[in-house]
Amino acid sequence: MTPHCDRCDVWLQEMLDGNEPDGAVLEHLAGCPACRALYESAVGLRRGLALLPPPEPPASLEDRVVAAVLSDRRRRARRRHFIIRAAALAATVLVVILIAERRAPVPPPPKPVPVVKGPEESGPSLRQTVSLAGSAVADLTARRVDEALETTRLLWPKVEPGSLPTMDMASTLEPTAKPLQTATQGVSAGLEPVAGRARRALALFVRDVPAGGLLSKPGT
Amino acid sequence: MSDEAGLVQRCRKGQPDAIRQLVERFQAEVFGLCVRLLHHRHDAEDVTQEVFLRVFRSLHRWDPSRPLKPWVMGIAVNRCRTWLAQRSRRPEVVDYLHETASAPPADDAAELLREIRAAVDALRPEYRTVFVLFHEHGQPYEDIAAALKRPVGTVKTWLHRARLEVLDRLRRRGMVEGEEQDAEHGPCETKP
Repeated sequence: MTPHCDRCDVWLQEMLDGNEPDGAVLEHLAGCPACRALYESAVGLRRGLALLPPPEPPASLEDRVVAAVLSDRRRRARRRHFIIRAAALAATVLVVILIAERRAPVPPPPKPVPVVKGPEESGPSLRQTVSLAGSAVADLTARRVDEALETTRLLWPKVEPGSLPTMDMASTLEPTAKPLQTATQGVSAGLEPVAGRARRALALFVRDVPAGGLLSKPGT
Repeated sequence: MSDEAGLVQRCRKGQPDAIRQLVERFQAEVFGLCVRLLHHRHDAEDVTQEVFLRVFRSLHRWDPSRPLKPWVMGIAVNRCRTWLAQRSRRPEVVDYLHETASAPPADDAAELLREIRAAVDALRPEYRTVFVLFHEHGQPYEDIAAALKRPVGTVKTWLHRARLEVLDRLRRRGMVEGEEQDAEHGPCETKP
């Protein structure tokens, strides 16, 4: 960089900005060769810049630019319309889906399963109890049947064929209807006291049962 | 409504005559700036087209209370910067055609012009931008600052340094007066 005065920086900028130097600057320039040289070079630059022709655009540039701008506008408009149509279509499909969902029969909600506090906490259930009782009865019955069959098998070989008394079956048998009627009446007469006691017991039981039933909790 | 605001409004409506009018009004300025900043006429044509595409896409962002030209030139500067950044990543393609057309100096003035161009082209991009905008496009400091989105003080500093560099080159090349005087007579109050 060529050395120059500090003050040159100021007036050089003003001069190249288009302002002419004032009297004080001209007086300084007369006594300072370095600043005068800078001043003259700045005058040369200013003269050259004034002559500098602006680059001329080619004649076809304007048409090309206008065509490109119009084409760009059309393309952007098409894209905008496409987006609007797509959005409208999407909205329509959404509305149709919502309407279809509203019109469809709604299945009834599943009935809530009553949660009954199971008797597991307090003991075996009624079904388990009955099952156990049934098993016990079946075992007992099977055991008794086995014992009876065994006894019968032991006694059977000791019976002689001629030891049994002969019976005249044809003369002793009576007509079937009469003894059956008699048996029915006899059974009824025999069960009468038992049935009467059962009725009385049931009446007493029903009287003692609370009004809410057997399953209702006390106090509810 | 100002003339520019009306023109912009018609452009936004898509009127072809208004679009052509706006292109006519600014294409020389935009193209000139692009040529100066890019050093390449074909690139400058492409970038000019891009600049106007950007301008018409962004017209809704223009503030009608401000002049249109600095806004357009700001877009042009930005597009040139982007183009230069992209070009720096590609192999260098130098367009000598527009320089060789004026290569034989007809007189001292033509040679001076060629040297000024060469000196300006050798500047840093930000110095070159403010130099071209101020000296070739007549933009005031405020408009340059608005176009570059920089403070006015920064623009003045850049322009000052750009001028000194151009002057120094011209004097070293003997295109302007002063080199011999400097050698013979030292400065009265020098600074480096």
